[in-house]
Amino acid sequence: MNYLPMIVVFPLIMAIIMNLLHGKERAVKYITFITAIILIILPFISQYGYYYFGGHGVVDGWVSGIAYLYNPAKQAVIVTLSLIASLVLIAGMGEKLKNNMFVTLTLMGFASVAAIVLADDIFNLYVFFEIVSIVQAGLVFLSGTEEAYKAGLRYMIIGNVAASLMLLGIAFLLASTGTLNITDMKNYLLVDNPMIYGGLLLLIVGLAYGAGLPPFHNVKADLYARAKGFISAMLQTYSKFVLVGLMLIILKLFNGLDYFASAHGVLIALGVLAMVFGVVMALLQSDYKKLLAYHAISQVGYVATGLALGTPLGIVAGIFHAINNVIYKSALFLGAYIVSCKRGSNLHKLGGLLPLMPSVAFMILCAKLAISGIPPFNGFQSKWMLAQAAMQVNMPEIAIIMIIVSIGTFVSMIKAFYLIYLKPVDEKTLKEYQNKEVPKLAVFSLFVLTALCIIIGIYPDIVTNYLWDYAKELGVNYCLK
Amino acid sequence: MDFQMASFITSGLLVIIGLYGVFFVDNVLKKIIALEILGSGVNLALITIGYNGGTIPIKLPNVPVDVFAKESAYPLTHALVLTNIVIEASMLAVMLGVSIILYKKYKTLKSSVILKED
Amino acid sequence: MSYDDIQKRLDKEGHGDGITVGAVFTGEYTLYLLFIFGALIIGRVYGKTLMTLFGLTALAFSLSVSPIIFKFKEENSNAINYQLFWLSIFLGAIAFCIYMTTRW
Repeated sequence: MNYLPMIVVFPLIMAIIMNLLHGKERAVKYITFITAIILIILPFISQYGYYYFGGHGVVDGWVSGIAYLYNPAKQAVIVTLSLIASLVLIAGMGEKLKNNMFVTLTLMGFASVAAIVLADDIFNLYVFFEIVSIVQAGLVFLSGTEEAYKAGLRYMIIGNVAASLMLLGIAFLLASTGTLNITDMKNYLLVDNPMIYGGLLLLIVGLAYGAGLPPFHNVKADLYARAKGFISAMLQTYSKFVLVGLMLIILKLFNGLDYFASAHGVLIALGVLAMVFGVVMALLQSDYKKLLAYHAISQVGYVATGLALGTPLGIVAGIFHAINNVIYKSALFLGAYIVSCKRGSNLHKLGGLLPLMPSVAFMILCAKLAISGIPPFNGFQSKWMLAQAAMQVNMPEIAIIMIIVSIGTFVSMIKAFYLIYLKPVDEKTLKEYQNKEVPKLAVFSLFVLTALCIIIGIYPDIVTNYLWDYAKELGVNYCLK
Repeated sequence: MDFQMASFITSGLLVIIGLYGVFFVDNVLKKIIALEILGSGVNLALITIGYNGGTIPIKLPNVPVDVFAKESAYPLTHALVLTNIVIEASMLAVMLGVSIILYKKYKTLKSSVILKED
Repeated sequence: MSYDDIQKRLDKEGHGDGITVGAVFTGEYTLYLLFIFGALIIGRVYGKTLMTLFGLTALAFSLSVSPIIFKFKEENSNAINYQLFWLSIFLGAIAFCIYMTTRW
């Protein structure tokens, strides 16, 4: 029996069951631990290839019905997603308030993002894209503060505009090719047509909203900053894998056609602008979680540039950087949650935490070196491949901008580390620190993520061996004169 | 000008009116209503794509399959519109709920006051 | 635009220590370098006279409004009017890029 649809169906059913368990704390804890273990096992027991829902298959040369496609590259992405979801669910069990709502929304988000990565049918992708948007706003509303409500309302108003325009783009593509299935649609897009341009343009608007590229970067960063620490780790994972799923579909449909040239330029420009705008805004912030949120936008820019270059090396570098990025960014957000349990999140009021939690400070320092691209960690491997991909296409200016943005990342991370851990502080605040407790489950999740950073940094072939076949199928080699 | 072209022009006008309402009007509830108008424009565009002069695509029990296939309009887009209406209704419910909470704190509905920089 | 001007301006808001002023300087030079390299790569794709024109405009714009980083921080604020303005400019620019440049 093929377990592939269980990756989407099982979390949805558990989410509905969790929603009914209102107020029973111990039952919620046990069921969450079991669900977290099953989520890691599921991607390993599914079979590769196409899966057609409801027994419909290929009829008269057209695909009839909804289809999913599974291959080793998507397996690497879904394994990472389920690992991060399990660790965040375990870390969230230390909190006391509204536990079952948090688990419900996280499981719904996991099912939707897995469906977007697996999808072979363009309307199914739109439905789950909308579900991810509502889930992200819902997870911010759980914090309960007034700024959280404002951030969520801004996100939903702007998001509804972008998502309705994306549906209009899907309507244009349906009208000009006659089918909704992506494998079939590829054969009918060879002749150009103003309607196909319109569809492509509006799909790019939807892609920029889902991922957090400009001009949507401010509402996304506000969203990550206002949620609690471990919830932000989940929110930014959803955004990055939505970007990977949608970009793979745009490249599968349109890569190599000669009318795609100007849209290709627009995608590379959006990625470069996201990198630079994220880092410059991060250097100006005085709130720790907002600084980390703008860094998440900047790293999304790296992934978008790598994928938009379109060559096989570029696609492998983009997906590998997305996987690495999710691991060290979640570690940093869990660190921010541990610090905010002690005092709060304003950088200019914290200080002197190093003697109190030396092991946590060491793990956070490893994550900060990983995000800047320093050798024994995994950030170095993927940023090296990205710069190689940019030089292979003969665009050295993009490689120079990547290096400058890495320098800016390093400066702002060291600024945050100094102001939280190393700055000397007076006696009264030290006594105040010792009264508050450190959540133990969050420290466990942080340890697992830091260990993964070091392992993937020394043996990057564990991940990249899965990615090369699909990238060679999608990518087209070219060179700018 | 035939019926299908007039319907496409109507849906384009609805999209433009919806976008104008979201960008330029200062009231939070009016922005949410303008989002609904934008959604209605997209739904109308989806249905009009499938129009070919036929009847409503509901298969009654006493009609054989090949007569149904020859006479009805294209039914795939009607299914997409039904799904879209459900999605929009849920987003509308969440947005209106949050607007009520913010109105109780600020006592006004102007979006430049409620959704200000903080 | 020297060290002392920026330090006085940041002292007014309460964060005047050395490491914050250094971070603001890093951000400003990153924005200048983005303008220069962006003009270089657009000029390389579209032809040489356009490149000189773009390069000079970019340099003149970025040096005339100085320091550029405080204006950048204000344009990226969270108020919904600013965000909807940039969204409408984005929709217009993306339509121009894709439709017009493929009809030549």
